[in-house]
Amino acid sequence: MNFISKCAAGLFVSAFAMTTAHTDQAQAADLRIVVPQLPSALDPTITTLGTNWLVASNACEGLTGLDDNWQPQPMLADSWSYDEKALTLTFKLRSGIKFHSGAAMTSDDVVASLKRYRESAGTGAVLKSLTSDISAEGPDTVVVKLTGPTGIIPGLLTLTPAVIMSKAALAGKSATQAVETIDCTGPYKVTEFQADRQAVLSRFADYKPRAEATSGSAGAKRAPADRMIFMPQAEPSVRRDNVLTGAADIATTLPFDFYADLKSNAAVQPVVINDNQSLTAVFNTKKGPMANVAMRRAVYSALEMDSIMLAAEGDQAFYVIDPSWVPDRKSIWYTKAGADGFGTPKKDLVKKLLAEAGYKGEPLRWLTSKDFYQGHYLPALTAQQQLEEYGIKIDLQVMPAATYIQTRSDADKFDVFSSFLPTYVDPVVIPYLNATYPGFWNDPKKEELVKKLATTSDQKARVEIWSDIQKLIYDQMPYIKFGTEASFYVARKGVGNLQTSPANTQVFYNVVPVAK
Amino acid sequence: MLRFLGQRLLLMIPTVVVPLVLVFLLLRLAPGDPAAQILGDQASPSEIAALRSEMGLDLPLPVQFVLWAKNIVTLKLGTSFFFKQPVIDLLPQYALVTLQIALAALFLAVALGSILGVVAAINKDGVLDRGLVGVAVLGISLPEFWLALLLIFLFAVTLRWFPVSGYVPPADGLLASAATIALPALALGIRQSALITRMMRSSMLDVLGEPYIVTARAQGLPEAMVIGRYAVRTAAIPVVTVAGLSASYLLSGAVSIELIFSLPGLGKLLIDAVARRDYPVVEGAVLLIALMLAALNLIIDVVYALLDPRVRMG
Repeated sequence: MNFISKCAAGLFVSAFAMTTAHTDQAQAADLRIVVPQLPSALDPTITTLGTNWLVASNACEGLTGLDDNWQPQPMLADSWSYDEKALTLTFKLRSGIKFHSGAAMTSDDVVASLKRYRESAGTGAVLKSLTSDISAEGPDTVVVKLTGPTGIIPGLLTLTPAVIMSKAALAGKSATQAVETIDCTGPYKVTEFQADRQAVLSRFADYKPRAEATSGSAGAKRAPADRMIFMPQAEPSVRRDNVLTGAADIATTLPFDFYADLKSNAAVQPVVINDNQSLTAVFNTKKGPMANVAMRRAVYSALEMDSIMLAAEGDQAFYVIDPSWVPDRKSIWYTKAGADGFGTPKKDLVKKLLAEAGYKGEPLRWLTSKDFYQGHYLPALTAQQQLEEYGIKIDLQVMPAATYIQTRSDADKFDVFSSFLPTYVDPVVIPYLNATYPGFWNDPKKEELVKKLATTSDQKARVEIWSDIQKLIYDQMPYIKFGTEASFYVARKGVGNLQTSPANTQVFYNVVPVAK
Repeated sequence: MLRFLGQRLLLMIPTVVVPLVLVFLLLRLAPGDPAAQILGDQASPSEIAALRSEMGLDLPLPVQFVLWAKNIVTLKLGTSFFFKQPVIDLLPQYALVTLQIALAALFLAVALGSILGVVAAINKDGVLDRGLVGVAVLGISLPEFWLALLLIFLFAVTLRWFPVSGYVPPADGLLASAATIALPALALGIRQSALITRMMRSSMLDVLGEPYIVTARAQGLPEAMVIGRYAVRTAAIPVVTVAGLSASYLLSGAVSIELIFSLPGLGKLLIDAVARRDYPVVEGAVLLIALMLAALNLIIDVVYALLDPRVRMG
């Protein structure tokens, strides 16, 4: 055999072996999930960025869990109760729960976790403002002292940053210092984590599922896959191709352009999650022309929302023109209060409002970024064209995400910025309502209503208060909503029990992989 | 030779230090706050300010510079804001991936480019020459990311020969590792091989017109010996320059290829770190890339000096 023949034979054998190795990888009863990015660290308490909670959402649990209707249900807690004055909230813990390290969960672990969460940014600060102390009373009871009556704490504790980790794992770690190994109680245990490569979660043999029926991240967790493997892939078409070739079982966060092709492919199943999130724009209510409410009303009245949403989504099947600031129709907070005639422009009113605002044609600085996804940029571009028909000039500033986040925090540097808003477990934690959030809406009536919402424990009364807040939003227009968009992902044919609720888009522990 | 080597080593200092200082300043002067990036958009300004203080980002710029320079000199590159790992531990993991792909792509580029360049030159103005030149121009013009997507469609989605994306380290199986770098190396190597093909062809055409080649042919030496032993050796010298430039490009991390194939290499690490404003990682990666490029340039200079004594004479 001459040299060239030997090389050709070698190449053939190598190619065959590579192909075989590749095929073998796809045969295991693992659930392989391709996601746009992996968290850079596993600890969910150190950040308010939801994308960084992915692994912890599947490996950890809180005292409560969120069902598909956005309601808190018991998870590590067996039950909870308030005292007569509603100033003490007592959680009874489930017995026989073990951490991934093998240690038994006690109230000391819960107290350590919640005290750390209390010191964290975002919703942790909300918990801090509503509680004066968290302490253990015996091994299976945790007592939360409240600063006043409130109904939101069980909901807050469904959030991933509030998960329970062992006290030993948290030792010496402040709320800004990441825990290296998350020692949790969930149905899967992190067995390998390499940032930018993969996160492998293996079934936790000592997991004790709840008896109730599964609903979102509440109820029974069955853990049907031997392992869940999360793999990062930034390019959407390559995420899709991984599923098409069988190298992955699920590819998340895909653009709607892919939907028709995938729908007609017998090897895969596209899954649409309706009512996923609102596409929005936030006004600078502190400084500049948008500090004038007449100007904000003029911009809102000039916009035709259907064209804006169509530009963003590409197909009417993937959005709804809906005014609710809580986009999921299954949430108890969903309401159309205060939004009569939403989405339809009112030409005469725009002219009147512009005159009232004294608008002289000065350009409005609209910040947006393409780093997030086209849902930020395309609505802004379409709105710019619509507003120019009324002589409202938009200086559309497209910038990297880091620049966008910093620029919008300075009231001197913007008038409007593009944003989005998912459904939250409780409206109190909607960041837009915070007066320090960029946009800086600081209205005495709003502050009073939000305080009332936080400190009322009767849920029916709270729904009414939220309805009043939405009416105020549609009157004062500190931010505007264009519509509600869906999202979609694709799975291999044969993958079962796929999630379709926007309440639990990061949860995969009940998904059934293709059989071995 | 020692004096020449000493001069080149001294020149390495500004090559490494100037980009580092520029990166330090640009990162801190550019908008974007690492603390805000870490905490996310629900954090309040006071929470962000507290974290900035904890990270030392509220110190005056000259103080930060002195602390940074001290750390660089002692090779204490700090801890990544996001990975929460020492940068000195993080960089080798990513650099090895880039090195593996760069070497595979470079081997492919040099082998393919040299052969095609020689074939085109000895068939000057023929159909084969025009075809190869056309393909080379096309190869140079194709954006790498587009070529990568085409390769995925053909070899991964349609033929299923290779995985679509991802990376398997050699320690987990040489064949599986080779399979994960095959398409990225091909996507990178094709463009570089097109450059080398054109350079080799042009260099060969110059050499084939030299009197010593005419003499060799007149003496009746076999054509294969004239081309292989005399012409190619001389024509290969300018190709070393192009190959060196290609190596510099490949080692500094081919960002688009690493992103498309989801390869945890230096380019991807750097671009993610810039987006997240992870200062220690950006500075560490730039230091590593600057050192690698300076070392590569030194090697090329030394090879040139060895091949051609006139270079040493200045």
